[in-house]
Amino acid sequence: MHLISATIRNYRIHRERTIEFDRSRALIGGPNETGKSTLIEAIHRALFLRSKTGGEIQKGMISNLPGTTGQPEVEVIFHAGGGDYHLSKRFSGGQNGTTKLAEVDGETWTGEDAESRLASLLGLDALVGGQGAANKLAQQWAHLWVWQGKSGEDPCVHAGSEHATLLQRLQATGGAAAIQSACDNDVASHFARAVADIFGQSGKKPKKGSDLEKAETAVAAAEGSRVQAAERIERLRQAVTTFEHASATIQQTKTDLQSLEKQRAEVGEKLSRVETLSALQNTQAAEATNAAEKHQALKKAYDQIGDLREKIGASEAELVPKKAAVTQAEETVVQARQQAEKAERDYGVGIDRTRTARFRREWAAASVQLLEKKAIVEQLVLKAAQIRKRQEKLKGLRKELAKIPAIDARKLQKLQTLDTDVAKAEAALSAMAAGVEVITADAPVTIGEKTFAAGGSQIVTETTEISFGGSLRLRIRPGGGDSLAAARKSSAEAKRKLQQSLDELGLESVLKAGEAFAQRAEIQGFIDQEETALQGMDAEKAPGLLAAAQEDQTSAQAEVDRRREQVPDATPPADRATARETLAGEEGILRAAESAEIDLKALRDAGQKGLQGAEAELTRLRQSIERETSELNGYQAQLRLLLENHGDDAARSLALNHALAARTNSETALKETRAGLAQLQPEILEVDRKRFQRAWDELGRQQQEAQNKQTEARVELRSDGSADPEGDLAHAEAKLESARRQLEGVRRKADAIQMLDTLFTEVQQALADHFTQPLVERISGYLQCLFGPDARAVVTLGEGAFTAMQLVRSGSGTGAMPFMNLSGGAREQVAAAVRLAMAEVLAGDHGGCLPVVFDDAFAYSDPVRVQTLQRMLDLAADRGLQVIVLTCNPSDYIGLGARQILLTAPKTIVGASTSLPISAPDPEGNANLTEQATSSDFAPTVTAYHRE
Amino acid sequence: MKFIHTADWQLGKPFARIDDVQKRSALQQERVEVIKRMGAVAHEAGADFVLVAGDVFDSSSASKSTVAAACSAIGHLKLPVLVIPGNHDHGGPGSLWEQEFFQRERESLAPNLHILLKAQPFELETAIIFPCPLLRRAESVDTTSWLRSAEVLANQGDSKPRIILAHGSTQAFMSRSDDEAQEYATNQLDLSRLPEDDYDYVALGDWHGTKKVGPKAWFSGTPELDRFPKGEENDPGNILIVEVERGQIPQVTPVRTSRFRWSQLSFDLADDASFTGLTERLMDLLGQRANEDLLQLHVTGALGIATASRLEQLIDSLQARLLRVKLTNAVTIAPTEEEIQSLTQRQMDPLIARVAQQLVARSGQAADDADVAATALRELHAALAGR
Repeated sequence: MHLISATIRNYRIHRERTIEFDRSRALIGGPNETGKSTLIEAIHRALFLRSKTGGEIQKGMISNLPGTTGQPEVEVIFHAGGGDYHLSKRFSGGQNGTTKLAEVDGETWTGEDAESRLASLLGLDALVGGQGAANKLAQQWAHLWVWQGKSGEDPCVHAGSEHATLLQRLQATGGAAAIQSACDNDVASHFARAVADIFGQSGKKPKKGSDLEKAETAVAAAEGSRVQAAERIERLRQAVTTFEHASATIQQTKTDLQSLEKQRAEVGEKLSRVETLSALQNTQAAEATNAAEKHQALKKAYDQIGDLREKIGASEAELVPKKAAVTQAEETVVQARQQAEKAERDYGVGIDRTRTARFRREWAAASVQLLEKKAIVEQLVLKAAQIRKRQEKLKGLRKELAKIPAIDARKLQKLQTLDTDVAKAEAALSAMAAGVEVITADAPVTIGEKTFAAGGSQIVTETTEISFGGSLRLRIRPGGGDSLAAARKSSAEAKRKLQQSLDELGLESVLKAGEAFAQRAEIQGFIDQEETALQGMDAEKAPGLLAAAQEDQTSAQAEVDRRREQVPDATPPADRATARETLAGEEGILRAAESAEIDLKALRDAGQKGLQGAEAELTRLRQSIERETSELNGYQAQLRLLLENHGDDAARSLALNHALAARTNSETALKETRAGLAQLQPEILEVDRKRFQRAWDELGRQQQEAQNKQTEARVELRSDGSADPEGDLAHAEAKLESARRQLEGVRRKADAIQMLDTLFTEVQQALADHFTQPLVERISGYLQCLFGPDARAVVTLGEGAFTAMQLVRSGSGTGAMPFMNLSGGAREQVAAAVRLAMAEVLAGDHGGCLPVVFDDAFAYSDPVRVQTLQRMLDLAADRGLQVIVLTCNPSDYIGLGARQILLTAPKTIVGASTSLPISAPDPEGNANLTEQATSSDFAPTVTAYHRE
Repeated sequence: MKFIHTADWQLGKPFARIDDVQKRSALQQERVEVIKRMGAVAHEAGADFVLVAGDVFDSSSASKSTVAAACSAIGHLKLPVLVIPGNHDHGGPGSLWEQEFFQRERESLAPNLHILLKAQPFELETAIIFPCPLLRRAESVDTTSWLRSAEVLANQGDSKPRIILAHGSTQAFMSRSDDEAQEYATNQLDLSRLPEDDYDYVALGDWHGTKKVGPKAWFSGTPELDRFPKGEENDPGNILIVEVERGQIPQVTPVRTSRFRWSQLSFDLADDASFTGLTERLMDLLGQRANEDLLQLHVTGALGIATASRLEQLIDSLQARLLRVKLTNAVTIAPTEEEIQSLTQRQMDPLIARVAQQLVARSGQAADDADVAATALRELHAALAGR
């Protein structure tokens, strides 16, 4: 089937338009709003919509062009079913619509017949109409008719209504043998169920309760039982081995113990001999010690006696010369005593002489003192008389001074200052006064209170009125007025102060004051002179000094008187010189006496020392003799005692010989016993005993252990006949073998069923692939025009419908890309390829041709891709399809080599533009089927358009 | 003087590989029954006593019921029964011979039973026995070694025949011990070292077939078969009537006592046609009998799917009918041309056809999953058979 031409009248923006379609390639170009989509919609409705359709659909078709009153009409000439047909439809709304179909050079049908015939030519059951017509209409040939804005949708979805046809076609193209039968399906699902019964959802592990799982469980259980039985047997065998080993050990230890016992007995016997000998040795050792001690004691006494005798002899010999020395020492003491007594006496005489000399010297010194004190007293008496004289004179001067006013330099200075102030005030006062002189006057002139005639004058010192007759009155203000009075007051104040000061001092004038001050200064000079002289004489201390000197003199006299009693023969000196000579003489005598006394004392001390030394020597000698005598007495006493105890010399010798013999005997016996013990090697014997004991214990332990083991093994082995382990093992092994055989069979069957299921699935897939192959190859052919030789399509047929369309581009690195993951541009291109391929397959039912309409179907494709996709469109045309492309950019499709039809905007739109409700929506509101108009698109002179 | 020589009764043998309890119990029971048959033979022959050369019990820890049944059966023999322990029921520590229960049962049921646990002469009225008991499962010392010195044998029982009773492998059988569980080089008996003139008969046990191993030495074999025989020479299922006098060569007569048949059959199923051959052979071998036979069946070859199923059914029947089928089934499934075609040439079912083609291809390969593929073919065949 292909379109040949179409004419539309009174259809929306078209008043009347006729289009001729090329058999293979038609390009309908024109700017927006030239009615491209409307045109193709009109043809679609003519083909698929009943003419008696009314309602919104019909209203949407009515032209709104001014002056248009006719109903929408569409005429389509097409080729189908081997002939050319002329279809005329008038959509007059409801029952008024008409349809006429005429085969060129043939039959003509009208009304229902025409529509029925049309449906048959298009391969439809009936045309669309009635309820839900709009939706149904959109589905008609939706796989061939790419409406604007729908180009990127999955064409497999649109093919929905065509699936059955498509599958039939694919079957007819070579997939007939690949269609599975009901039996195929039954058997395949039988094995799928069987696998699910065995393996469940996982597909790997056997399902609980399945034969395979039971068999596996049985094998596991049988293995467990076999292991248990085998272990039991192993334990029994182990017990037999243990029992036998233990029995052998017990036997061996018995033998070993016997041999050991013999050795142990020998050692025991030797050890008891050692014990006996040890006891003997101890007794003998005690005896030997005793004999040795006795002999030792006797020998000691014997030696002591000899020793004492020697000591006594020596001691007596030593005493003889010591006694002679004592006699001589006694004589020496007598002589020393006589010498010491004489020196003592001489020393007493010397002391007396020194005492007398000292008395005389003291008396002489006191005499000198007294005479000196006397001289001082006389001097002080003289000085006291001089002081009294000066004091009298000073008294007179003071009286004189008291008569003169007491003025001093400061007071005088003050008086002089006050006096100067008076003089200054006076001078100022006189300088300020004005002199008024009446030179001529024919009448008295009154100045102040006084009246003057000519020639009269008056000093005016204060504000004064001068009047002359009654006609003239003048006021004179000397010094500017008030200051004159101040000066006057100041002068009076100065005078008052001076006078007051003078009165206070009792002076008449300042001159007098100067005289008085001079007089006072002279008298004061004399007074100072006297006072200085008195101070130099220490006048105040003089009386005290005199009294003290007199007292000293009295004391000195008393001292002289006291000393005189000690030297009655002395003559008092006449004066101080004599007294000093006497003192010097007496001091010489005293020094000589003291020197003699010191010499005598030394002599006396030496005598006493010599006496003490002689006495000490005598004492030492006497004590020495005494000591030695006592020692000698001790020796003699000891000797006597020893002789009493041990008898005389002969008896002692005999006893000593006996003791020695006893000692020698006992020591010999001991030596023999010791040799006997050493021969037995007691240390080794003890080690042996311990060794044998250890070995004995060890063997005993081994034996006990073996007995325990034997008992344990016997218990393990003891069978009461209630169980037969060998039989149990045999049963377990048989069971395991049987379970394994069973499992093997079940597993092989399960594996077989799984293999069958897998094969069925694989073959089913292969069949499906085979089935879709013609479609896939066609799609791939188109895709290769777009994406190069490596591109191919994958289409999956599942559940009777095509699903999961994918684009594979080997080498692109992206792998298989599901349709919906492709970019907008690629999607519309791939969709176009699929549509073309489907159309190609379906064309078989339509005389090898079907129209495929692309209304602005490549809006997302870039200019380069738009160029390459023309190769795909051209291929489709070459393969027999009628390719109709609607575009607002016809220049983009130059390369297609299509017959081009250019639509222009109807002139009436321009003229009617002002009366159009330019922003009004499409009255039908059917946005799917018409170009969307925007306000700018309705501009009166549209010259530019944009790609949509 | 006559006596019965027997051995290897193996009472209480578990027959564990037989799943069916009744069948298993029948086999176990028959081992007791044969003692009664033995008694009839002994009385008929006028035997003085019965010698059992070891392995009266299958295990040294036999169960109470086995012990009771054994004592009861032995008691019924009414002849002295002299037993030595063998390797199965050795006289080691904890053995059943020490069991209180056994002692009790022996006293009350089988006072004629003598257990010879010591290597010392045991004198009977008409003969003197030299027992060589096994006191452990695997004895490395020759139990007859105590008889090597001539005096031991010569100084006993003057004119009475001297009979040695022992259990183990003789030199002639050194490398082919008849006991599966026996360790190598243990329980060896060297009869050549015994002074031949000083004994009159050696009664041996352990080898389950009847076998003469010397002019005066015999293995009696087991009186009732307990396993599928090995090798041609083997002749199990007998007891021996021995007539012996001091200094004479003994006269030995084997008497058949075994009841159950232990058969063996190997059959190659080259194709579906050969299946009939197998059924015929089985009919020859087993007749219409039930619960009397044990069969060791070894089948090889390849069968079509349908015939393979028939083989399975046949095996099923045998397993039900016989006491035991010890099966080695090496038959592979090789679908027939028709079967293959019926699966792969399904014009109307392309899916099944293709799956079947792949399975056929896989089962024909030497791959690991060829078996599985063959089974899968059978499963597929079965799934379709019901349609």
